[in-house]
Amino acid sequence: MGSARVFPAWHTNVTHTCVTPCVRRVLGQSGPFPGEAFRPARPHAPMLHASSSPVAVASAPALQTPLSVRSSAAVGVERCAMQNVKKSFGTTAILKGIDFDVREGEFAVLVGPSGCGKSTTLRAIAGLESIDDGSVRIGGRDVTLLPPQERDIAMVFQSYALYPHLTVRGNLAFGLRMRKTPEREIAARVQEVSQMLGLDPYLERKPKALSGGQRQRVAMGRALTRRAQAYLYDEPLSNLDAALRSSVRLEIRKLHDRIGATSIYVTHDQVEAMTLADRLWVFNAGRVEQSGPPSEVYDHPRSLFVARFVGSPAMNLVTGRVRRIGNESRIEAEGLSVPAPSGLPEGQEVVVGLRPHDLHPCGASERALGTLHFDAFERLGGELLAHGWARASGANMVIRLEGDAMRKAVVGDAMEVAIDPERLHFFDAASGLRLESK
Amino acid sequence: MKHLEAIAAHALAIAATVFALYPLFWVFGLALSPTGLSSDARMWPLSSSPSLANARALVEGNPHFWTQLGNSLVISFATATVAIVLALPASYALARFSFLGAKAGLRTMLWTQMFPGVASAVPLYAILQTLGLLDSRLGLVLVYATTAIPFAVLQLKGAFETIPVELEEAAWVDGASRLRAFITVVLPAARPAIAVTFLFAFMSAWNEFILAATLLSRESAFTMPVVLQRLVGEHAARWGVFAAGALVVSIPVIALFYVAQKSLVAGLTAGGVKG
Repeated sequence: MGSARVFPAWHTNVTHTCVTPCVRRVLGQSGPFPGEAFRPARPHAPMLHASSSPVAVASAPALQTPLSVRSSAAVGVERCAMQNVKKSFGTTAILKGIDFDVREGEFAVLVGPSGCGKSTTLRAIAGLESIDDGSVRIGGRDVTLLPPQERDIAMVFQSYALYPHLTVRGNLAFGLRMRKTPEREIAARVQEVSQMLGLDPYLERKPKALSGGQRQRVAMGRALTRRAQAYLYDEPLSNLDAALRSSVRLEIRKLHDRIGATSIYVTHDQVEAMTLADRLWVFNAGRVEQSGPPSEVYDHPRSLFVARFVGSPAMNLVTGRVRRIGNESRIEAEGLSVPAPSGLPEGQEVVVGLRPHDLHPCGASERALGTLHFDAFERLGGELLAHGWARASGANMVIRLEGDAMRKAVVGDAMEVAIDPERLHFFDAASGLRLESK
Repeated sequence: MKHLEAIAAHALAIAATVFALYPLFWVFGLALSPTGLSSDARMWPLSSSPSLANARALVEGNPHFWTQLGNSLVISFATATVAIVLALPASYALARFSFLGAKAGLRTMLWTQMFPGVASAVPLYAILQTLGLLDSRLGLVLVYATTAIPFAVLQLKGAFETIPVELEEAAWVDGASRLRAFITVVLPAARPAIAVTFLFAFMSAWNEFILAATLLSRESAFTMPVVLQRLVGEHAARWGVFAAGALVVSIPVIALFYVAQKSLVAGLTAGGVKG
């Protein structure tokens, strides 16, 4: 079944060569865009971390501004945008000035811990939550004051919210009926979506006669029958078991690519976020902490919060101070010794981040960071997550081992470890912001 | 062991059924007895020569019988319908919005349920007299509705609160207005609770006696409970006819229960009935 046949004309993978003034404003650019063409393929472009000064400390206000300026995701026509959106419940501020833009064909994922404001942001886009300040634009229209039914969006709810009195067919057709679509077209679209999602055998069943996975697909189908400006997903996989979750996750991404949809997806699961997103928006306490392609966020977390949140297992973080040893500047941190980025004054307190996947057993030609003493293993089959410490009172460290190193490892052993210095992350211990060295 | 348990459970269920149904069986026997005597006490109430004389006496001996039955049906249906129609938007608003006076309103409705209807019989009589609605169906519907509406509001508010807001939100996002979402999504989801509430409101009006006896004096305006009461007078008790009347009165209720059975069970188990 070819995608062109399934979705004849509702979603078009447009190649855009122009950018609206609004996008330029959000992106903070005035000149021509380099490579404005949009490709539906996942555009993980190279990182933009150029900095002219030897050490660039991201300033605090920079974290509160739209970081999309730095991101390099696909540039298409703006589909959905928020500007300085604020929202409080009583005296509790939930959204503290959200700037956000999703472009046509993009898969944006809002990720963050519980209570960070990501779901409220999604509901504000949908019009299910009013906002106190700022504006929301969908498809080039200001929809800030419009009710949900006039915003032309489709949404998949965490609880699926299937209409219990309607059959699967009735659920799929509901949105089209509300919009007075001719019955013949409704039948055709329901047929297409049901075929695509494998719902044909269940069309006449009520939701209560379906399994969790089937309900989830009906919820997706109900959104997909519509020709919406944007498809919103509010943690749609959280009620599924682990195996189903990963397969449905893949399906969602494939569907998105196939129909060229614009999707905004909320999750607290960072694996889900990393695997689905063209662009990640990491939320923390009502603010966007960082946005960008997943690889950029993973490789260059802008703060300790992002470093801790993105990546599984989480980044190892050790705290130490810069010391000069001969000609060299090093950071001695909880039993490990790592080269310090140039330009840091002696004595500065720094948090060093080391991803478990970047650490490896020290080779003959390498300089060891220190020695890890293993006290627990997580065997995952093809790889091993070894937990240990470099100094008895130091932080718990995790290293991923594979191959021979994995097979030989024994709890209680010690191992000298090393890392490519390029893969080290440094954060200012006081502000929690990333320290860059070039 | 399992068999014994099953036998004991069945025996208990049969005993309970007999205990509950035996008086009804008596009424049935009395209605079909040619003598219609209550003093004719036996274990087996069915007469050896059953007759429909009592039923005939009930219908033919009373020139207003059909009008009176009609009164009961019209008044009960109208009361239940008015209660549901007015309570639906009220209870939805109370369940979904917080507004000034919501709590006070709810509390007031609860209070109205605490007083027996008879406490307000005299003022109600005065009001209906002023309005010229004594001995009228409309008058009684208005009176019954005053207690049926708060009851229905309380019932339906509970029901709407159990319906997830996401269902409505999904409908809004799908393009429905608030009213449309209410009609196409919320009402069908609340159908069992609405059925239960309708039935309760219907039955309370159908069975009500004291206010009907107070507010109705013209015989053709009577409702069935008043008619039945008149059959067992001070001087003569026509128990056989009374029993036949009692059975006739039961038929609409049984029929309604039968029709609404499915919704009722769902409504009762889904917390549609509280307290």
